[in-house]
Amino acid sequence: MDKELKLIEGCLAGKRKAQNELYSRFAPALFGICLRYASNKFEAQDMLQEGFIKVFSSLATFENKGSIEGWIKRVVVNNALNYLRAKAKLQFTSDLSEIENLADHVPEIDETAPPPDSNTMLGLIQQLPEGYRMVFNLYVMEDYSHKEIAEIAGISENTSKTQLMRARNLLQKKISELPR
Amino acid sequence: MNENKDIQPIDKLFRQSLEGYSPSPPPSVWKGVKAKIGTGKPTVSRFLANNAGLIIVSSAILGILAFLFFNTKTPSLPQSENAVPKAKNLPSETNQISENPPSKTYHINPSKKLTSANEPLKAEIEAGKIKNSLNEENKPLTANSGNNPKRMAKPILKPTLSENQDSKQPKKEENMPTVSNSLAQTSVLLASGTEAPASKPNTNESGSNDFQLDKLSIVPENHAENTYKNTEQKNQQQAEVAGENQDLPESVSPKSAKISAEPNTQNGGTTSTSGKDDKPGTTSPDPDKPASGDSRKSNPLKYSVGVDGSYGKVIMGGLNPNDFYTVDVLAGITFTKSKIGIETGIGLGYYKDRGIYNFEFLRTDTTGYIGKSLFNKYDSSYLIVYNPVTSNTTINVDTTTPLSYTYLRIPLYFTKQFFHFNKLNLGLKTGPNLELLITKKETLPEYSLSGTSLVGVQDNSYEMVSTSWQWLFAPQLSWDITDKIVFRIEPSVVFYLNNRYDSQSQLSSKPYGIGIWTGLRYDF
Repeated sequence: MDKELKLIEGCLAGKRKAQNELYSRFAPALFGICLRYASNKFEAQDMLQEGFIKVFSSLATFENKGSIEGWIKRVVVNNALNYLRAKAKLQFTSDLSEIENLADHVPEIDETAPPPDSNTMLGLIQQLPEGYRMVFNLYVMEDYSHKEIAEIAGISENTSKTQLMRARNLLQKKISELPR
Repeated sequence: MNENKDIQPIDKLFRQSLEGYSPSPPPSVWKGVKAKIGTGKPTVSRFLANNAGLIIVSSAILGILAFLFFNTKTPSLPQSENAVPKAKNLPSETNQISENPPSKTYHINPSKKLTSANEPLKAEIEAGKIKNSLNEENKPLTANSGNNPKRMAKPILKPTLSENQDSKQPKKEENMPTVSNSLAQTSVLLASGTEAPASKPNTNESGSNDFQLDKLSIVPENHAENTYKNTEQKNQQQAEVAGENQDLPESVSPKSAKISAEPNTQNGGTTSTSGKDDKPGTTSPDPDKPASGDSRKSNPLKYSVGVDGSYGKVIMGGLNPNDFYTVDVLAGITFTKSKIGIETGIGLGYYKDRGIYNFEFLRTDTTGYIGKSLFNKYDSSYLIVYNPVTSNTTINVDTTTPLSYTYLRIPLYFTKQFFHFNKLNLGLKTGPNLELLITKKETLPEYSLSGTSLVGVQDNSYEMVSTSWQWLFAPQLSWDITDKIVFRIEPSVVFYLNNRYDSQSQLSSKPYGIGIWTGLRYDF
């Protein structure tokens, strides 16, 4: 903890070495998060870069009440969401009849089978439409509730639930199509 | 967040797969972050740390300028003053000189400045009233001869006080020796070597020795300086002079000039001696030792300005060499004795490089169709839907683009000349050089592949440091075109002390540069 405080103080003092150390420590995990929200790695790089710029510019607002890692993660995720909003990539509309049909034909997940590797799973998430991907990430990976997601994304809770269901269905379908 | 969340097996599957997934971001992300974020509030210590290079170089330049300023101050006193204080070591007899100059007698107190005493003498010399009789070529010393310590250092006549004249009997004019090396002559040595009132010591009633002008000798100042170096030398040489005074003319330097004036008989001023010390002390001047009082001879510094240009290549393992060009305006000083010099100035450095970009394209191919049957609940029929099966192929293409950096250069070089053959000089040049990035110019590349869509472009360029510390080492070959203008050429090696590329782009091998420096120097 003391080391983290010194690191933060160093960053606040503008020491390049401390800034580099903070970046090196948290960038890989945050890049993994950005990859989930982005549709490709270049978009993820942009998200990470902008996220860290915000981290350094608003580090003075960190109050040492929680872990610095959690705080940085929230900053980067919020930035990713803003990034997607800014690019007008969020689309929450879909053809309900298609979903009903898909729901009738969702294959079962074989929980006993070994899970696919991380890159494959990440690729599946990246193939989701923007709205599906965001809600799935927030609900499943970040553990937000539908109410919270509705507030974050500016949508209704029902929309959030619908988006999540569609995302799951699509992912299950794609997983079932993966070569075994 | 919500403990009653509906977590399905597929959620668990993704959580398990992506938990702890931490791929390393490419270096370009940190470059972008670093470029955008500042370094916080400036503090004195960080300012000093960040600008240490500039501060060191600025201090060095200021030091050199201060050194130049204080060393280029020429003495404001007449040159003859330089030699006179040396005569303070004269024996008491020679120091006791009357200060009552008659019309044609110059009474000089060597312990005092000669300014006022010289003025009438100068006037007379210029008016031709005083005969310049002893110089071989019958002309006074020139400034050039005074500038060359070796030329000036030839042993020449040193009589300063009359010895063989009876002080009690005034000498007749016709009996006075006309050569200045006669012991009857008294020379007052002036630092400038141009004009010298000579007096005979004349014991006045008060017992002090007056010097009356009868001969003028122009003798290099180092004579004057060395003549009265110390009493012991003087005493020894008095004996030599006593026995060898007939040989004195042989030691007259052909370069030296002497101005003789006939003795002033009006005043009855003859050489007066005081017995045992009436011989002037003479010393053999050291021909290699320049007089310290003559600013022209002893000027230890040489000042110069110049322009240098260079072309070379930065060599770094694993990369193609990059061209660089520099141009510097330099000012320097050289210690003439040790031939060691310092040069500093300002210049520009231009480095050519290549930017590297990665283009990622996505090509989608349809490899077949899969038919799916959908059950229609209303009429209990099946609908067969054919979905295309596609294959995505990612194509990565690396391409390069011209990239250039321009730096402000602040060199600080040390030079040492080792050999001098006719007009050719050989030496060494070494020292640090600070470069500060001014501009970076880059042409963004364009690339396309038919049948694909561009997914993204990544900048993988190696980025040069914004502050570069270097050390140059160069054998220096120069040619004296004229006395003032020197052409020089220097095949050089440059070591990049803090690498050439920044920490995100560095390779394991240290870069270095080889190049050829050439330029002109003007010596003041």
